[in-house]
Amino acid sequence: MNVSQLDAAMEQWKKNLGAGLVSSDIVGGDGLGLVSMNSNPMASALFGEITGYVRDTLNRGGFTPPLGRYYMTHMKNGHLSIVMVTGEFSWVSVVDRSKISMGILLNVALPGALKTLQMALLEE
Amino acid sequence: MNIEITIGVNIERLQQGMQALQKDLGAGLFAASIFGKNDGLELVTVGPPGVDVGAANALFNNIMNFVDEALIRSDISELGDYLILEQGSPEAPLLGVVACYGEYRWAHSWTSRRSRWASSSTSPFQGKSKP
Repeated sequence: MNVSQLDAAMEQWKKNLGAGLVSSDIVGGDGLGLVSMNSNPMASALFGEITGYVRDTLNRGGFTPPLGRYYMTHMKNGHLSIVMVTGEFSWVSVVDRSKISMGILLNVALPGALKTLQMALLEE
Repeated sequence: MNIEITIGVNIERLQQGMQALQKDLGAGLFAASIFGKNDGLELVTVGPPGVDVGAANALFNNIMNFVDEALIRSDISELGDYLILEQGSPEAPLLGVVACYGEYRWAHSWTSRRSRWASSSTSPFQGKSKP
C-alpha cells in the first residue's frame, strides 16, 4: 500500500467535498486508521459492522450481485455516510448532505476517490 | 406491472412516481418495486419476467432494518431517506437504491452503463409520488 497516495486521495476528497465533509477515515482490516480527517472512530466501527452484514446478506441471497466498491446511507440528522470498500480496507466518510452537491459527489468525487484508493492499495 | 389495492395508499400517485423513475433511468432500469416494509406487500412493481422481485425486496428490507437498528444503537442517528449500494464488478456495476417513506420502501436496481444518476433515483418519494 502507498500511504502517501492515500494522503493525496484524502486531500483531493477534502477539496472536492469542501465544507460538507464532516469526517473521513481510511482504515485497515484490523480496524485501525491509516489516514484520517476529523477522525470518527465510532462511525468507522459502526460502518465496519454494517459492511460485514451487507456483504454477507448479498452473498447469502445468491440471486443478487455481491457488494461492489461502495454504499451510502442517508441519515435522519441530514448526514450521508459514504463507505468505500476495497478488500480488507474501507474508507468511511460522513458528509453534510445540505453542504454538498450530489452531482459532484456521484460524478466527480466518488469515481476519483475509488480509483485512487484502488491504486494506492495495489502498490507496494 | 402488478397492482394491489391497499386502503390508505394512493396507488395512482405511486404509479406516476414509478413512471417518472422509468423515464429518468430509461433502459438502465432493471427492476423497481414499492412495498410495505412490515408486510412486504408489493404496491407497484416493474421488472423483467422471471425475476423474483419479492425475494430481492425482502433482502433489501433486511439490510435496511439492520442499518436502521445499528444507527439507533450507536446513537449516531437513524436511517434517513435512502440507502445506495453498488453491486457487482466495477466494469458492469448495478446500483441498488432503497428509498424510505414511513411504512413504505421503494427499491430499484439500475446500471450506470445505460443510465445516469437522476434526482428521482435518490428521492423517488417526493411531490406527487408520496403514498
